[in-house]
Amino acid sequence: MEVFHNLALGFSVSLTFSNLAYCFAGALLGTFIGMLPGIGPAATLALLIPLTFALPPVSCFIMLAGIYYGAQYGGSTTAILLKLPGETSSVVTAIDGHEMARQGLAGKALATAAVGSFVAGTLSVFLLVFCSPPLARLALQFGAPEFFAVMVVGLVAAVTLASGSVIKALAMVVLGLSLGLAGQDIFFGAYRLTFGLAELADGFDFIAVTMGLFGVAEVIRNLEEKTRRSMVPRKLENLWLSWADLRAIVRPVLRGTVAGSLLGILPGGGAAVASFASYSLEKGLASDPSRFGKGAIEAVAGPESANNAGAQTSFIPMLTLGIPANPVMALMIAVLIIQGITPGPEVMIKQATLVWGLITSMWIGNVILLVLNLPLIGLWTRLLTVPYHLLFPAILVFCAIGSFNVSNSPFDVYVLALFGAIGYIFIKLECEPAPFLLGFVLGPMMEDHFRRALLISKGDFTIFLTHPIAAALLLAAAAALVATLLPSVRKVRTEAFKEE
Amino acid sequence: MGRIRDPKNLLSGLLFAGLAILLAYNALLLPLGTASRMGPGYFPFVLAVILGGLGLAVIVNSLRFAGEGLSRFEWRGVVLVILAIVAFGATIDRFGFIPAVGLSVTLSLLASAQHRPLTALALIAFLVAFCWAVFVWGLGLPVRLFG
Repeated sequence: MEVFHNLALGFSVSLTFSNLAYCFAGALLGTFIGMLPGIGPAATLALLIPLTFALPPVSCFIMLAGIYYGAQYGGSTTAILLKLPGETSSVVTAIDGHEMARQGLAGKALATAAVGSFVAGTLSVFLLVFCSPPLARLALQFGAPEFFAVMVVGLVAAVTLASGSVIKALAMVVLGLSLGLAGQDIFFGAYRLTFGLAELADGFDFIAVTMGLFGVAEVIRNLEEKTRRSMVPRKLENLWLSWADLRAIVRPVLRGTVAGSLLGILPGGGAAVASFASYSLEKGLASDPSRFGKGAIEAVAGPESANNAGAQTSFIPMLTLGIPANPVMALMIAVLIIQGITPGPEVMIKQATLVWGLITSMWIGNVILLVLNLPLIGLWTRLLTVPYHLLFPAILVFCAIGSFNVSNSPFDVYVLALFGAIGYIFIKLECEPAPFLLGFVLGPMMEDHFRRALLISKGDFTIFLTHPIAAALLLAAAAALVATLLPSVRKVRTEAFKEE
Repeated sequence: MGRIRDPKNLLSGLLFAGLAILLAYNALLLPLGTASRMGPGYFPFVLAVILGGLGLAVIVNSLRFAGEGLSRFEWRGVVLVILAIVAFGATIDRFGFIPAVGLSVTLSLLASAQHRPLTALALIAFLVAFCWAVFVWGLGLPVRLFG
């Protein structure tokens, strides 16, 4: 059977000694980063990408993926112990998880999060195994109009699922698309937005832009907050769950997995939205919703499963369509391009060892995290006592060295500084950087497909409506946009993001 | 004229609209072409028009609905952090890796008021050594250490 053949191929790659080591290193580093507030997985990945140029593509992806899902685990640890979510995807976990910790049930909350994440991680890897090949086969028949439509859907979904103003998020997407086009035009070789600078012939360096927006800007924002961290110095006991606990969490975990997997596959979804959705779902289904916010175990189990499931299934659109669901996937696409692999459905066929090696390594990584996390929690929490004012100079200088490292040019360091300042302005104006970054990555690809489509149709714009798949996708995007403007939907959206 | 009702969104809208004009101007410097044979300026121009429209919509909304004011701008933090990064870029080729890291860390330390001189010096020394060990010794970053 095809599935077994793929899995066998995958494990033959991911179980080699060096790839296991990269998986372990990624998961460990991810857990650490996930617990540090102020530096998220996107900035960390951007920092590490230049260091992975020399690795074979599959090892590089195994490690980078490990950092991403490791960060989901790590983020929940600080959310529960300190009410400091390291990542946005664990914001809701902080509500009831920390409440449990205050009642002396920290061990139980951590175990719930770990078990939920593991179950969700395992089930969503199966989804990846079964769903990716058919989706890629479908996408192989796509032409330029269909790809253009898929990208529109992806970007619109990113906007509607983001919190905050829809119009501003749309504007951020368009701005990202525009700046993504900077550099030499692929058809004519004309220089665009280079301001006469030879260094901009290839556009703004993606890694420097990401580190600026998500690393440097975050540092400046954190400097505003003078709050000190409060510790929970209590000893952690009782990291095991009783049968009654397991019975209480099994349904929330499964529901969270389903919700997270679906939202992860949707372009624009991913871990953060998934956890919010699961929290709302559990609260809606609970026989006594008033327990929520006061240490309800379902409110930890559901969102923690959902964010891990979402983190993993967001690889599906990235691998099969070349569409990023979130900034981390946008970076993964940039890595594909750097490694000389064209993103799109061909990746599944031409890079079978890469794809299946990566997917199987994600399951191995989940096992590593489960084994690693619970015994090491004591050590992790001690690391958290490092105060932020000792930490941020390191983050800044790493970002500077990292951007210099891309092509040994000080110019990329200035790009980093520029986008750090821009990112801080975005934060101040409540303009989300994530839609901007998705647009930035997709800009050149989108223009390419737009041009090709109209070249085929000899300038006739109805090509997007006469091709049924493209028309259906664009219609769905339009419907999603119109829906967000309806008062009833707007109310639900505000409710869903209220917990933030 | 009353007070501005939603300064945050008004500024966002003005930023988008201003950038749209800049981007449209840049796109018009290049040949637009036609839809069937698009020139390099076509797609950027379309995007700039959309951005301008969205910017206007944000401005209009900011005049209709009240919103929160801007929170305080952390000038000291912004300037010193940006300066720390620019200083790294400006010194790495001329003076080498170690002075660049040292200068960059020193400037970024000034961004926070919570440092005592001795711990600051210790942190600078530690980070210079750490960056050398990780990036130059460990990962073989091809840079000169001094000069």
